[in-house]
Amino acid sequence: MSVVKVIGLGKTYLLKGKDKSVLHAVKNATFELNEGESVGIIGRNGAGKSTLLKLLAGVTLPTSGEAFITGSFSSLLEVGTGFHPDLSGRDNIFLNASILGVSKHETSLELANIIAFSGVEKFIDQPIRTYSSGMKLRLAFAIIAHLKTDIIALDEVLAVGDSMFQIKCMERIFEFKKQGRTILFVSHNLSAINKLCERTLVLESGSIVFDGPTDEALKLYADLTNSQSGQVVSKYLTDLEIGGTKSEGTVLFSLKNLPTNAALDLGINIGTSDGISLYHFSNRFINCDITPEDSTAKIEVKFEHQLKPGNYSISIYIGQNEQQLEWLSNAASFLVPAFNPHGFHNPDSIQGPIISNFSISQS
Amino acid sequence: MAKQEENWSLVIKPQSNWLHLPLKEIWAYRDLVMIFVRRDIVAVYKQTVLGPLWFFLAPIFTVIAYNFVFGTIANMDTDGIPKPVFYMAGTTLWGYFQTSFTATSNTFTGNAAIFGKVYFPRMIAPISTVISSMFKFGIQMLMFLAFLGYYMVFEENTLHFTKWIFAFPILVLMMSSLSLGIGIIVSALTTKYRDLKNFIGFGITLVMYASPVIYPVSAVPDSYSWFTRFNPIAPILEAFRLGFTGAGTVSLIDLIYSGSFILIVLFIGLLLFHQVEKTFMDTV
Repeated sequence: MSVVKVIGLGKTYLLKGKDKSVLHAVKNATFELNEGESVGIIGRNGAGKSTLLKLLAGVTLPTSGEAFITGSFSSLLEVGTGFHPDLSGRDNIFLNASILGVSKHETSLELANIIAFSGVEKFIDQPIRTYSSGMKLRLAFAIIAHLKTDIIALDEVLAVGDSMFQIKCMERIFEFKKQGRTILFVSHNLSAINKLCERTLVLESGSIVFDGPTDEALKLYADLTNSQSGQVVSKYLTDLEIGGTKSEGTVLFSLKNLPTNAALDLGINIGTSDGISLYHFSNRFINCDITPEDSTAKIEVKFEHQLKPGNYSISIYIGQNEQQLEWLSNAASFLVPAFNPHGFHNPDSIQGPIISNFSISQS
Repeated sequence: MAKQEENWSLVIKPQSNWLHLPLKEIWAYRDLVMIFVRRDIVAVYKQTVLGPLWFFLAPIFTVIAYNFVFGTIANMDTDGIPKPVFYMAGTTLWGYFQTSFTATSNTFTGNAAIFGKVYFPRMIAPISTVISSMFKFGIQMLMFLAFLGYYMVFEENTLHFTKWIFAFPILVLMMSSLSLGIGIIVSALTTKYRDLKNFIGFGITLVMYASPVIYPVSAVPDSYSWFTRFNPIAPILEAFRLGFTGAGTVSLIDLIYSGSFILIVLFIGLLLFHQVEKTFMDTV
């Protein structure tokens, strides 16, 4: 039985400016969620994931189409919405819960559980401005964790906090799933999507380009992110192609319009999405001379990596004559396909992005 | 198809009716109103060193200043009642309007962070603001009564209660409805016309001078009397003073006019607010 039915939903923003152009944030989105189903939504930044969830949350109205929901529904775009720093933890539980539409009575029934789950019992009557950010986050999540709604939509709300917190959150979401609730899960965490969702929607420039089994969705998404080449806005770089397997990667690109035919200085960085550099490759490290012909050059970079499954960011440096021509920060993403490191089922519980072979034995 | 629609608990559509007043929905969220009210009151209490003492200090200093400037220097008429009592009466009720209006007119900008993340009937925010301002008003009202009591018992004057005192709850309701109505109109307009924000501060001061806060209606020259006659705030202030101090110029007709005016303002406000609440998130 379908509990959410979205028919041709669209959202168009009028962009301010002389040309009065419009932005189609979501185009003709049509899908259904069945009772007890966990469905993922993936897509690049700006693909329309958040807008789609905002439409379902009722925060903004669609410009076309309709959506029907049956049963109680929570759309969580954020944790701890409305938290007031001067109120105590206890008061903030009531405040946040009632903003989410939970009555005072229902909250008071769950209060003890929420406080226990949050792990901030000792400070529950202190104003939350005295809390650390981690404590606030735990309190906020504890409220969500005790929501009784049938359908829950989550937008990256768990992409905060440390890894232990993330694990706790994911466990709770799996519990929701076990309880037979319907979950709509927006995330950049592809392995979490892979584990949680049997079905996944892929969004690209506002349209749902795929709706089907998660493994196929992830493959398609990998193709999409790897063929980002055409979209890199650069004077010098074109035809960027990126390929990644679980242990190797390739970056192909062409250079054009180079000012001289002097030797090139190239740098390729692979980093996490939050900007930490993990690998840095440069032709200068290996004494490889690259000299362009007719101001153009074709470059192939091959490397080995030990990254765990997920999405990483590629940045490219182009220099000549000791001068920077261009620094393309986060030019494209590098996707390491889902696999089970060490044959272990849960790459998320491995901290950090690197997986290396190791042995542990009793001696 | 239409029949099927009825089975859904939530329907999301591009536009809903112009004339839709979400009263039922607001009632369903009444817990949130009370929690917002509590938040506002507790926050004021905890944020400042002197806490609710400010509720007393501000009107006392205002009355001292008015007494000196308008009473002593300008020697303005106060309808035959002691000057401090007259000014205290005016600032108490006017102060409620001012506080409540200033806060509600900031609804969209002040709540943008919450409105952007969670849906609840947006009217909840200004409604709870008007109610929480009532708390401050209540404290100031007690102070005014203490003041009044002192003058009635220990000083020689004409102060006395009249039957208009029974209109007090209605007067408060009128003031809160008016501040809510104008407040939500202004808050709706400021989302589109940001300049309006600069006007609010001195606009409210202008309205105060146009209302019988520091002068009685009886002191307004005949050639200007149309001014106070059309000002919907004037009958409320006069009726308040007539009830508590025995001096004031007001008739039932004046109050009915004022009440009708307020209802129209409130209705326009609700419609305008409802239009803006649907598109507001797209403009910030």
